[in-house]
Amino acid sequence: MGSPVKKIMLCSSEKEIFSVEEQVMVQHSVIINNMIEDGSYNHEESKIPLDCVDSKTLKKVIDYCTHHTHHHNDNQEDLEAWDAQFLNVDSNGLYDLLMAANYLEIRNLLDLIYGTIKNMIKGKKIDEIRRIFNIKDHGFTPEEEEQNRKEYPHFY
Amino acid sequence: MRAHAIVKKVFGAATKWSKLLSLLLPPPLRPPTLPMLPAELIELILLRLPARSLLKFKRVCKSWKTLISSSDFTKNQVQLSIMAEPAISEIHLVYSNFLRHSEPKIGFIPIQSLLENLSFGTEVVYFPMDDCVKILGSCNGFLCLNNHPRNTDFKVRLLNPCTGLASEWLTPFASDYNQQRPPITNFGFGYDHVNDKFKILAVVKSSTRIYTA
Repeated sequence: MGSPVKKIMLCSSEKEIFSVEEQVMVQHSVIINNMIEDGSYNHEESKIPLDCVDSKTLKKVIDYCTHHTHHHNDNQEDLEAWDAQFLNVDSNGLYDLLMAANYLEIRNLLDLIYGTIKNMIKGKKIDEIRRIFNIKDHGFTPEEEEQNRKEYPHFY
Repeated sequence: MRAHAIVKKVFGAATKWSKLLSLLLPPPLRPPTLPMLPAELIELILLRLPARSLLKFKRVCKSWKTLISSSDFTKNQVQLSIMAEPAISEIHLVYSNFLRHSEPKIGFIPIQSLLENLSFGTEVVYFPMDDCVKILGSCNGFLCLNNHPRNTDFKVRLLNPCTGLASEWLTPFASDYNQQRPPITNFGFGYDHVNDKFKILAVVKSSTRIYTA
């Protein structure tokens, strides 16, 4: 019998407590790794408050970290298929995941989300990019905008 | 999206039939609109885009333009691109065509592929120029270009081949030679690490001067 798996407590914005294997979070999140390393987390009484991450998103983030910890030896194709399924969320879900991954500094999840956004805007015209990024006011004067459209008509 | 393209191709873009058929097809898949992202995350997304596409992204909105134009962004972008795609830091052969009656342009030839397989040939990337130019030198991936000697004045500009962006034409000798072309016998182009500036070294007849770009 090995020693019991060490767990840490994460607390979502709704004050819901998630108990996760310490190793899973330490491996993926720079922030949590630092907290454990510098001793600011006390296994008897600490909970890590994640005030800007809601339960739904936190559950997904934990799923991601757990899967990538236990399946990192899977073949690349299987992992990519799993990632694609994982990121099959609506735009608000993608945004929440991006903010959470950024807050917890989960580098491979950030790379995955940035890659998805990069593909969304790849080869797109400027008007379409403005729509995707929700840019209502581009800030150019009408003259500047007209000049740009004249100079680079293929961008629009 | 493909079905729409096929309908357009078969029936013509603006005919009655293509419009009718397009109405019957499901709307093409469009990426969703994202909630407003904070500026620091926008920067991280833009940093990952290919340098060549930044010319377009600078025109999306003013704040992106300011961000992409900053020197810190350029430095980080170059570092990230070299990490992601080491091939862009490969050695390239650059030439400009100097013939008066041909279309002015600069050509880039990657050397590595030539060395690896001589018979295969290699793709030359061209940059169209508004006038014939002479290449004075290259440094840190930037090219220093000089206007054609048939012009009476002497001007230089920097070109970043990764982005296709060029600086304004600069006239380093304007005050000394009053728009006349100075009698330059030799050039050098380099980067001053201490002051973080590109510099042009010009030997003018018997004296040597250094101009900061």
